[in-house]
Amino acid sequence: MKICLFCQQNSIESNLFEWLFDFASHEKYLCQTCRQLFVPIDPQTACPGCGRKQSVRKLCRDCQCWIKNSSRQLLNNRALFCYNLPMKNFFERYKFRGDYQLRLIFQRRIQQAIKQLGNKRVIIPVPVSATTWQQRGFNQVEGFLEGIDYLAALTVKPDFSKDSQSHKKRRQRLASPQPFTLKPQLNLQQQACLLIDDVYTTGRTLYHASKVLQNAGVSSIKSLTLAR
Amino acid sequence: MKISDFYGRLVTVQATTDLTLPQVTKLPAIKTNGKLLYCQRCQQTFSKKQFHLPNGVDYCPYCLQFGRLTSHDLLYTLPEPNLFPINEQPLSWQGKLSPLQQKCAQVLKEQAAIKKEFLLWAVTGAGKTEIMFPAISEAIKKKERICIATPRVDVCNELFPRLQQAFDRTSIVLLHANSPMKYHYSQLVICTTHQLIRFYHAFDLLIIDEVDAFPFVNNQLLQMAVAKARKRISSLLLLTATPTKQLLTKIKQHKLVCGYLPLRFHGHLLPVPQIMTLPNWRRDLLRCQIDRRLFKILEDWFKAGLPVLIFSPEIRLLVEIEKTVKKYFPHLAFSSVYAGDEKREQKVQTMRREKYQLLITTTILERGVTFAKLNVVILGADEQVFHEESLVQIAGRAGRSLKRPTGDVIFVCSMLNQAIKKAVKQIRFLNQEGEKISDENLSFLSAK
Repeated sequence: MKICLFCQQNSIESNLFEWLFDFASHEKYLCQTCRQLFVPIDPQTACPGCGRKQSVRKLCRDCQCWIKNSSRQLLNNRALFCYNLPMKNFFERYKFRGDYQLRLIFQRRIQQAIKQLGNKRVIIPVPVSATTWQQRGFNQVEGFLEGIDYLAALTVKPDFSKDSQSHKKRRQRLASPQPFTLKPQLNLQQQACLLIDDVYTTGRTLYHASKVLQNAGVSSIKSLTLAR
Repeated sequence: MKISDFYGRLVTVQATTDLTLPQVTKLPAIKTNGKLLYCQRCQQTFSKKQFHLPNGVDYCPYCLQFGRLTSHDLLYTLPEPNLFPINEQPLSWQGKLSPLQQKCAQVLKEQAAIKKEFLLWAVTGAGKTEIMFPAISEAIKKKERICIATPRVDVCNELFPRLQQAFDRTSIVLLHANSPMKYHYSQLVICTTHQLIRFYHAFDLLIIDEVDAFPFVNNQLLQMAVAKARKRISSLLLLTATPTKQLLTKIKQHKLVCGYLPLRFHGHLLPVPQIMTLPNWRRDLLRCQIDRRLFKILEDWFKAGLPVLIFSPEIRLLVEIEKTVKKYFPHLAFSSVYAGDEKREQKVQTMRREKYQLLITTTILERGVTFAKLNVVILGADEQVFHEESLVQIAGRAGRSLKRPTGDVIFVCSMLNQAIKKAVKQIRFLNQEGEKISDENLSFLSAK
């Protein structure tokens, strides 16, 4: 009997029917109660810019601001889950406490979404800085991509002092400078890319990353995040 | 970092920092044993494959909440030197123990001196804390280091001021996840059982209050932490009002010595719960209705100004209960509290000051809290969360004060089940034993 990775109390009940006929989507790491904590976002009605959960499909206010302020093309972001309290808790434990095994909870779902969105796209995870990598021991995005081909095309500039995005206020975050550069000797000319990140909060990080890729001459960019 | 911070503790230090301390013992945080890894802090074994990070480091998944330990970390420790001042009269407590308590305290004192394990089975409201005082005081005189650990944060918070008052010349520290105090070297430590993970052969006397409570019960990690936190030659005192089956078997097999106190400090018997079978209590509640009988009883209690605790089997139902109570008793001062409540401690304090007449709660308040003159209602006593031990504990919240040594306890259930029957049986049994003692003039009590 396996124990739920998230609450570490309840065991995972296998539904025999599910197990026999729907093996691919058979849940391996979450118990019945924890599954309901994470609210999936329906791509049909989500905001076309950032992937926020909405009841009707229209541009949300944040995305309208992005258009107004920077007159650049909106990212077509797909987010899988709402950034609610359990999700926040998940990231707290996964990223900041460093429980690497928690990557397994969402790994399969993200990889399924990548299959849907990015056939023949180059998959590019958003990087973490060298110090964070040293401390944390892993890149939280690459953890989700374990087992599939991706290209770590971006790096964080070494002189970039990162006092952790997640502790800043919204305005500070929006004003933060470009942290990423392209790795040398990479040719992304006329390639289609799929950027992967963990959370879309203000969109700043993803827009910075897409800027770098655009300058490298990619033909189109989409992005995928676990939460919004 | 002071050198005293290392006495009997495991302090995490990254391998790269150089901290030059003489005679300090350095343990690698994670030991490799083929394909298996072993964490020196929480003593768990786990597979290398599963907990290997991409940067080549392994980490322990079991004690993450104390900060992640990786194979790059070292644990520094110094043996406990017992550097405490001489204290001939440590006990500043002015109160007096009842003859029965005194006898019990004497047994506890003797047991603490022989450096073995001992279980004290004392009914709820027997005054366990006070009974511990002579044993602790004796240990302080011998310059021993003492820890009182309990699984519950609320119990810790309640114990701390009492012990601080009782031993006002002894250094004391309160440790739990949200404790306002930082760790410093002290003779007396009050902490949650989780905090014991950070200690390493530190205590000469380790007292565990409420051994049968979650999360300590059936938790191998915490039980091993207890073994590691004690010195090799030391005494372990277990206190409980409702010993688990495992403990009782251990006693039967003579692996554990047990002393036993079936009477409350004021000499009155335990209140026996009244059982009220309401098959549709849940449906009624969702419709914001109360059964007429129950309403009458509650109304009488509120009129008499008696404080009431209502226990709910689920956090979800708290809102429904609040709504219903508001409908029936619009002028009542009340609140509800659950484990994740931000104002949890505040609300319990308000209840204690008798500002609320009713507190609706979950099993978090089942033990370790004392409100004077209390009456108790359990809704859905036949639900799974309320097992035999917690039912006895909850029933034991009533009648704990000298002013009102009796109280009413009502179990509302949709049907009778084994747990309820056994709980009532246990209370009756303890009352029988209690009656015997008051009859036989205290000759019954002994460590058997």
